[in-house]
Amino acid sequence: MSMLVRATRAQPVHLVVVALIAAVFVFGMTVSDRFATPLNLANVQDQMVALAIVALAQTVVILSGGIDLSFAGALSFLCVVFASLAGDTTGTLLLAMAVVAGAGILIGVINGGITAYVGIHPLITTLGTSTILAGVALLLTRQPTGSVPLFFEDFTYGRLGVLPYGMIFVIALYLLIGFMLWRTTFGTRIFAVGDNEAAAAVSGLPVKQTKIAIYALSGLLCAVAAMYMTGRFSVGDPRAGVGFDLRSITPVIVGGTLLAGGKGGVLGTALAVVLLALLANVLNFMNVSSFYQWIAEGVIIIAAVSFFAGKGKS
Amino acid sequence: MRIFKKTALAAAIGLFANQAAADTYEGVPRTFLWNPGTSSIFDAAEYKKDGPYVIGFSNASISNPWRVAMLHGIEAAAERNADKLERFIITDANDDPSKQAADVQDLIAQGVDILLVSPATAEAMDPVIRRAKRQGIPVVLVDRSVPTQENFISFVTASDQALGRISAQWLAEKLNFEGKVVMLGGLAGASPAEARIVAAMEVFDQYPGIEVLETQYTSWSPANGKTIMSALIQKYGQDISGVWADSGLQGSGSIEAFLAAGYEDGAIPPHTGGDFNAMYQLSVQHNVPMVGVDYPPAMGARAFEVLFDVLDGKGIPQRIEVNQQVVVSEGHETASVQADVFVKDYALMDKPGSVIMSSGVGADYDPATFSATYPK
Repeated sequence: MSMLVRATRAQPVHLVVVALIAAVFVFGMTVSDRFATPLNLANVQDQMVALAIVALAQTVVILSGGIDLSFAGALSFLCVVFASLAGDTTGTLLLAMAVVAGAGILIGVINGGITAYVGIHPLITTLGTSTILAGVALLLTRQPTGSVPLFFEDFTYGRLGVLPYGMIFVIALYLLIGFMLWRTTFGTRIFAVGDNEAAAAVSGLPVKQTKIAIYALSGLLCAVAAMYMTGRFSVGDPRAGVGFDLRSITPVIVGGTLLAGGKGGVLGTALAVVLLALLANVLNFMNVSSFYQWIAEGVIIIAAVSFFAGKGKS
Repeated sequence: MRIFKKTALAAAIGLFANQAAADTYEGVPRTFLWNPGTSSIFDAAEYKKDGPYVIGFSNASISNPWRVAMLHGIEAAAERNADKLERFIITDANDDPSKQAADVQDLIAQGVDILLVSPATAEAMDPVIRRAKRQGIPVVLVDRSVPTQENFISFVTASDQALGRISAQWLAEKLNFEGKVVMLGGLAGASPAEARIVAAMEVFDQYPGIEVLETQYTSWSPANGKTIMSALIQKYGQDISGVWADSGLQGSGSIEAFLAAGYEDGAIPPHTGGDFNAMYQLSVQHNVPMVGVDYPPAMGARAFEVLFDVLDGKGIPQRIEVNQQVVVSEGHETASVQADVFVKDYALMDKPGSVIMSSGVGADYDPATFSATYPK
C-alpha cells in the first residue's frame, strides 16, 4: 500500500518533466526539420545510454540517503581494465566482463563498507575512492589503451530499426531495478534506510549490510556503463569518466528524487535523462555555443529543485 | 609539386601572426623536407561536390588559450571563405569524448558535406569517425589524429617530435650536457603532451650528465605552471639547472615562480616553451635564456582550407604539417639549434601577454575582441 502511495505521489513530478520534454521536442522541430528524423532520434538515444546507466545507479544510492561520487574515477579505471583484457574473441570479452563486473562490485563494497562501518559520510568516502581510481587509471596508462572485439563495438552502435541495442538494454535495466525497488524486500529496505536510518536500525533492519549491497549494486552498474563506453570508444580511455560524478546526479534530482533520500524513483530519472539528452541535441542543432548547454542544464537543476522544495512546503 | 604549393601556403598563413615576418623562416616546413618517411596522396575525386557547402567542425574544447586561438583561426578562415559556405556549424565537446562522439553524430544528422574534427581523445574518436566514413562523409583531422588512417582523408598538424627534440637538444647543449632538469608537461594523457615528453626523453636519455629531477603535468595552465614550479623550487632550489616545458603556457608560469622566489634577472635557469607571448616577453624582460618552438594554432585555418581541396576533388597529402619557427635568445644558440628569429625580435612587447603566437588570425589578433562573420 505504501509503495502505491509513493508511486502515485511521484506522478505530478513526472508530468512536469514530460511537459518539458514535449516543449523541447516541439522547439527542436522548429529549429531544424532534421531534428525529428528517426536518424537523429536514434542518435539522441545512443547519447543517453551511458548516462542513463550511471544515473540509475545514482538513483538507488540517493534513495537510500547516500551519494556515490566514485563514478568519475571508477569509470576511467574500469574502462582501462576492460579494454586491456577484452582482446578480440568472445572468450576474452567474457573474461573481461567478469573481471570488470567483479571489480565494480568490489569498489562498491569498499565504498559501502567504509561508509557503513567506519561511519564516514559517503560524500567523502566515494570522492576518495574516485580520486584514487582516477590516479590508478592514469598510472596504468597515460594514453588510451587496449581494444574490444569489433562485434562488441558494432553492438554498441547497433540498432533494431530506430531503437539502439543500448537503449533496449537500458529500458530492461530500468524495469529490472524498478521491480527491485517496488517489489522486493531489498527495495523496501532501501527506502526505509533512506527515509529514516535510525528508525530502520531500531526496527531491526540490517542497515549496514543494506548499505554495502546498495553501493555494490551501484558499482556493478558503473561497470556495465564502463563496458558500454569502452565499446563506443573501442579503446580504454583513462579519462573516460571525467565529469560523470556530477552529471550522474543531475537527472536524479531533475527526476524528482529527493537528495535527502527516501522519496523518488527510476521513472523520474529516466524521463530526466531523456530531457537532458534532447536539450543538448537541440542546442547542438541551434549552433549556439556549448556553454549555453551548461547554462540550460544549471537552470533546469535549480528550477527543478525549487519546484520540489515549493511542493514540500504546501 | 602540389605538396610544395600547399605547404608553402601553410607557411604563409603562419607568418601573418609575426610582426618580424621578414626575419623568420619562410620555407616549407623542415619537418616535411627532412621527414625520413613519406606521406601518400589521397585522391579525393570521389568527394568532389559543388558548393555552397554545409561544413561541420567538432572541436574538443576551448579549455586553454591555444585552443581558443585555433578556433579563432578557423573562424577567420570561415569568414574569408564565407561565399563558399551554406552553413558552418561548430560544436564544442568540453574535452569529453562521449560528448564529442555525440557531437559528430549530430553533425552527420544535420547533413554536413564534410567534417573537420579536432579530437578530445584521439583513440576514442576512431569508431565514430569510421562510421562517418561508412556514411560517405569525408573527415579531416586537426591537432590530434585517430589511429586508423583509412578512416580519414588528412591530418593537419605540426611536429610534436620536432618540438620536443629541438627544445630538449637545445637545453642539453646549453647546459653542456651536465645538469639537473625539471620537465613540465601539458595535459596528462593528451597525445601531443605525451609525444613531446617521449621525444624530449629520447634526447635527455643520451646524456648521462643530464638528470631529470621530476616530470610534472600542468594542463598547459600558466597558473599551474607557477604553482608547481614554486613547489619544485622549494624542494630543489639551486639544484635546478634547466626547465623543459613543452609550451610557454606553463613555461611562463615557471619563470614567474623563479621571479617570485627572488631570483635576479639573468640568474633564472634556461627555459624552453613557445606559443605564449608572455613567455617571450618574460624572457626578454628578465634575461632568461630560452628556446621556443611554437605549435602553431594556424594549423586550424590550414585544415579549413584543406576541406575545400577535398570538396574540389584534389589530391590531398594524408599528413600535412605547418611550419614551426625556432625562436632562440640572442647569444644562446647552440651547435644543433640555430635561431630562425631571436626572441627579442619575435616577442610582441606591446601586445598582451595572453596572445598566442602563430595563430594565423593576423597581426592585430587579440583573443579578447576577436569576432568573425560567416553563415551559421
